[in-house]
Amino acid sequence: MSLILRYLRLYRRDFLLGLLCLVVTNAVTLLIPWLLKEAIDALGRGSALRNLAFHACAIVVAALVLAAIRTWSRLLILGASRRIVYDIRDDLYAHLLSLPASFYARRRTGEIMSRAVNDLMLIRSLFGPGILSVLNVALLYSAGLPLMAFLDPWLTLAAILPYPLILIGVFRVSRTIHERSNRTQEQLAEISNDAQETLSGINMVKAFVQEEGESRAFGGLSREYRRRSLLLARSRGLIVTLMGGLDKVSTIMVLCLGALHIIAGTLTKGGLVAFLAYLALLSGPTVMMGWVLGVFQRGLGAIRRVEEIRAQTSDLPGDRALGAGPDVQGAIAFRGLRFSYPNGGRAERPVLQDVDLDVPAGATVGIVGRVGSGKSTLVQLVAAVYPVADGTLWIDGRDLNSIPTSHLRAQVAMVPQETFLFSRSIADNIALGAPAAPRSRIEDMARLAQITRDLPDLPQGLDTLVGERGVTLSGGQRQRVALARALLLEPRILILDDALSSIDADTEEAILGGLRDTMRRRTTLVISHRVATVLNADCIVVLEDGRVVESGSAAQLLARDGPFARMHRQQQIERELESL
Amino acid sequence: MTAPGPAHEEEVLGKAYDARLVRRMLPYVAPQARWIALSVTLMFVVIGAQLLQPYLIKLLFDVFIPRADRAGIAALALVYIAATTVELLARYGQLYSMELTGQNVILHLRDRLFRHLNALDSSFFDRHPVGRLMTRVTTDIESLADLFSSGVVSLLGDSVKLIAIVVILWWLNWRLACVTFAMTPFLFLLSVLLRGRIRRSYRDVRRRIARINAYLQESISGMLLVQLFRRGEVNRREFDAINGEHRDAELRSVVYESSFSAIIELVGNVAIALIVWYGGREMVRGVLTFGTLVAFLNYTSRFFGPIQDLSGFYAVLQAAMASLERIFALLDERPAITSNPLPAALPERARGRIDFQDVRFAYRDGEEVLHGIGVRVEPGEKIAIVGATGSGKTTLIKLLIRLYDPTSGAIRLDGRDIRTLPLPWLRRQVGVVQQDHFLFTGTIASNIAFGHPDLPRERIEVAARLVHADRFVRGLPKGYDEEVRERGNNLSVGQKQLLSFARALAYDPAVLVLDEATSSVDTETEILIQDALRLLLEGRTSIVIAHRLSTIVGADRILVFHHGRIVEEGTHRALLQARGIYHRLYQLQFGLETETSGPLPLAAPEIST
Ligand SMILES: Nc1ncnc2c1ncn2[C@@H]1O[C@H](COP(=O)(O)OP(=O)(O)OP(=O)(O)O)[C@@H](O)[C@H]1O
Ligand SMILES: Nc1ncnc2c1ncn2[C@@H]1O[C@H](COP(=O)(O)OP(=O)(O)OP(=O)(O)O)[C@@H](O)[C@H]1O
Ligand SMILES: [Mg+2]
Ligand SMILES: [Mg+2]
Repeated sequence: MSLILRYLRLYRRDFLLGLLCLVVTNAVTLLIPWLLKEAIDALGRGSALRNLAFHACAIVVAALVLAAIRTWSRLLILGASRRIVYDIRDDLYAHLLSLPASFYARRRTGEIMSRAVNDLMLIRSLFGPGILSVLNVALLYSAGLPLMAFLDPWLTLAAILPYPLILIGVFRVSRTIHERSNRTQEQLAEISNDAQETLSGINMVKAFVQEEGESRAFGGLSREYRRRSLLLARSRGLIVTLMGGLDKVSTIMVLCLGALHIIAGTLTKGGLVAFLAYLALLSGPTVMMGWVLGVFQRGLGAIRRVEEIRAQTSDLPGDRALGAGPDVQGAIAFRGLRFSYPNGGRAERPVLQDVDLDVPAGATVGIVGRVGSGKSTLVQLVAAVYPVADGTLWIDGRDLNSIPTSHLRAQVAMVPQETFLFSRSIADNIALGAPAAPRSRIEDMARLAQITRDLPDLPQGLDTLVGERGVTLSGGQRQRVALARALLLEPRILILDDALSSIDADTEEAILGGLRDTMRRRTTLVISHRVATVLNADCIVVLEDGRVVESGSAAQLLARDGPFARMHRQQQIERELESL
Repeated sequence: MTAPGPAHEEEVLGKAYDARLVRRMLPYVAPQARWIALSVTLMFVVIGAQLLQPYLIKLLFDVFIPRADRAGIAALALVYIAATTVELLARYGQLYSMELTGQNVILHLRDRLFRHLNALDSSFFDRHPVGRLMTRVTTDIESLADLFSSGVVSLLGDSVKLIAIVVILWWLNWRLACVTFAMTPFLFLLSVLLRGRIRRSYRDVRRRIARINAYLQESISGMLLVQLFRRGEVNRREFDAINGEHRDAELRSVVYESSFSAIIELVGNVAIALIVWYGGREMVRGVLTFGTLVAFLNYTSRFFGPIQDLSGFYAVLQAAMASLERIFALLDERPAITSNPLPAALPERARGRIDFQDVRFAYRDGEEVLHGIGVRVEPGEKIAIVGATGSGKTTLIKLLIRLYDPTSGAIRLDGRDIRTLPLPWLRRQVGVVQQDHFLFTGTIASNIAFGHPDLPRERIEVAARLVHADRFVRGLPKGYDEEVRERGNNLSVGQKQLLSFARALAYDPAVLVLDEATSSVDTETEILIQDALRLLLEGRTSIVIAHRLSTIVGADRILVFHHGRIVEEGTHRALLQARGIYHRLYQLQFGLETETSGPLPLAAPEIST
């Protein structure tokens, strides 16, 4: 509701002018039947034809004025509704940009999309045709009813007598409509989520011969949608019928009573004709009210959903921190860090606990550990993807929570474990974090990430467009683009989350050779399952079930004969086995 | 993120009426004939009842009021009530039967479309973003539903009503009727003038909303990156530009929307003025009764209403036709890969001999990715494929399960060209752990049982145990019934890989293909898996692709790919002795001295923990 008021206020000029225009158009609209009455009454008195011509001309002039002003009023109000939708959508998108990972973990993409597209359509209808009709009806009634009462008070009373009764019915039905239309909308969202998922995973569906099963599941959703739509249609039909009935009952009452009044001589024929014309004028909008009610209900529902998203805020303390402070140098310290995923339904189970670790600026830290031991989570915390408790994570001796997120991220670059590319050119993807980067820098980074090796295979070299999420590149090519993208930022803290897992040893060697220099100058966190990759790190951290079970240089750890030494041995044993 | 592609389907201008499209709709509409017939019948009832009403009013003025016949008036009122009751009931029935028709038609069409999409081949999906395809199954189909619920029959109804009104007016007084219709040529001219513009403006709006859709879709899926790479400001500007273009297109269409109905109203009012002027003169001359004049005025106002409706309907029709055009264009896409009927004697299970015979393949014309792969895999053999990234390993596997077909050469399974085999049969024989793992929303169990939805729980758990996913699954509060979110976002990458692996094992195929199936899994777990698999793989053909050489331990034969060719082939030992690419990869991976490079001396400043 507050959103409606806010935008009404913002666009008050358009709405007020529009309202003014509507006042004029309605006055003129009401004038036309009056002129008609005058003309007919004049005819009845058998007066001059000149009078007739005058009245006809007056009607034409009134009609012209009416058309011009009506167009203008609609331009104003409908135009404002379009602008409002633009504003809201822009705001919503800006807000989405500020929402944290935990928000996106809870929502399906399709759901958010439908807020920004379908719901805004509904809001547009509310502000445009919705408000237009409501204003129109209100004005018509407030002008039409007195006029009618002036013509014949009893007739007027007869005309509006059925209203209260039928309106009560309408309100009851409209509640049902509201509910049913929500349920229909939800089902449509189900359908689009299902389609989205099946089509995104189409290769999996095909490989496992599940086309039939998926189609059947989809068919089930469609049938449910049909059921709900038909239920909705029933109550909509009821509203239309009720509203239509309202109009008819009024007409009948007026006709009978009016005829009696004419017979009694208290009403002229022209009077009754004009009265009927007024009634017809009012009846259109009245019948429309059933529809407008629906528009408002759906619009309000949409506003509530949009507002619900806009009420979400970032749970990252860094997003509220002020004062950027000095540039990040890259020393990282974990102090008794404990973390569990928010709203995961399994919030109690900590994913990381008692993590104590010091990483001086410029050091290289290798992180190893079994599947699901919390490695990715740990490094994501450094990039402030999820919130941590105060005092548990320090950057350059400052609590991470006191550093503005965007200031921090300016110096942190990550190659995530799962590569996501945008459907743009390879060069644009590399320049993701620095759109203004000169071409030569992009090419340098491509060389550093060994993308240049593949350029002969790519039709337009670095300008080749990659498909959705990068599907038209091989797994390793995608990973290297993601690497180049991170390197381009020249961050103080570089995070490689298993960033070379899809890359062959030869290419990996070339990449690491080139990176040696880069890594020496920055704090680097390297997650890898290959012992060889981390063997030369300054420090190796072994995670197990969210705890650091050992840490130290490779030599220290090998001497300790703990999990790392075991891992090392395993990979060595394999080697020996193989070389037999 | 913008990717406004070359020319996409939203560009389709769409005629307001296209006989070809309508003909193609017939098979979908025909089964609903009964409901349509009912709706049309009821519509005539509605029209009849509606048109009766002004006539009753004329009777009132011309007959009953002059006679002061109160009883007559009462009778008239009863007739009027009966007419309106019939009208309302018939209208309700008409609306509902039309909604029913529409819903049945779109249910049918949507199902058909979805099935068709499922049958299309992978190269189609390379070319068409999912977001765009979704628009086909949702928005486009919905606009057809609108056509039915708000249109078709009322279009018919409106036209019939118009004709009926013309006839009645003609019958009442043909000269006055001529005057009344003097305005219609203007309307006609106007609509001819405006039609093209309106159509273009709607197309613009559609095209731009499609861009908003695509942009949002991508930036929501990639939100983490947008934020980590501080793209916020840039994205906001980009989105604002797209959003602003959409608004401008909308504002242009508002101009037409606002003026069109006002102009029709204007024409209607002018017609009324003409009736008053001309009809009044006729009345004065005594040629016309007062009641007829009133009836004329009444009918005329009912004449321009339908015209206004028709112009509104025009937009709906227009949108529906454009949607139909896009839907049928999609249905016209022929899958490049089709299934064959079951040949006479196919065994339940293949033996697993695979022949790649000089297989060549290009994703895009002229850019060959595989340059003649020729290799035979014997039943029960374990083959490993290694090679640089982008050398075509995954591509070869995609060809094996016919996600694509080779441009030349052939692949045979047990001696039969796979192109002659029924697709479902082929794909049941070959289970693939794909490099791009993908989990579906649902539960852990439903994901493992994806290939056999009715797999019993024990078998699911056996598969999970084989890949050592059992341990972490049991650690989850709901175990195998734990929810899996979109794309498996609430699991670690290695966990997702293990589940994909388990899914392939639960599928129980004759040929198992592992494409980087354990690239994100730690060595310890990997070794456990390998031990567990040894038994399972007994008697099955397997193909393992891996960069981590420890994964391919125990392969009978290793193929080394390089730029789409097999450059080395042999056992581990033979390849090491050959001192070629494999040897080099091997040396590198285990940090051994090679001629070209030493171990990887990563940086070494001091560090404290
Ligand atoms: N859908 C596609 N459309 C166009 N080109 C593609 C597509 N998929 C892959 N390619 C190209 O084909 C070549 C081979 O890719 P493929 O995925 O087979 O490599 P790969 O050997 O599996 O590499 P990796 O080890 O990185 O997974 C690459 O140059 C890649 O860019
Ligand atoms: N978004 C999430 N919501 C809830 N739980 C999560 C989420 N992401 C990961 N987890 C859980 O947290 C634990 C640690 O995950 P994490 O991704 O940090 O593991 P990892 O060490 O990186 O494993 P891998 O080697 O497989 O990449 C896992 O048990 C995982 O299931
Ligand atoms: Mg991880
Ligand atoms: Mg691959």
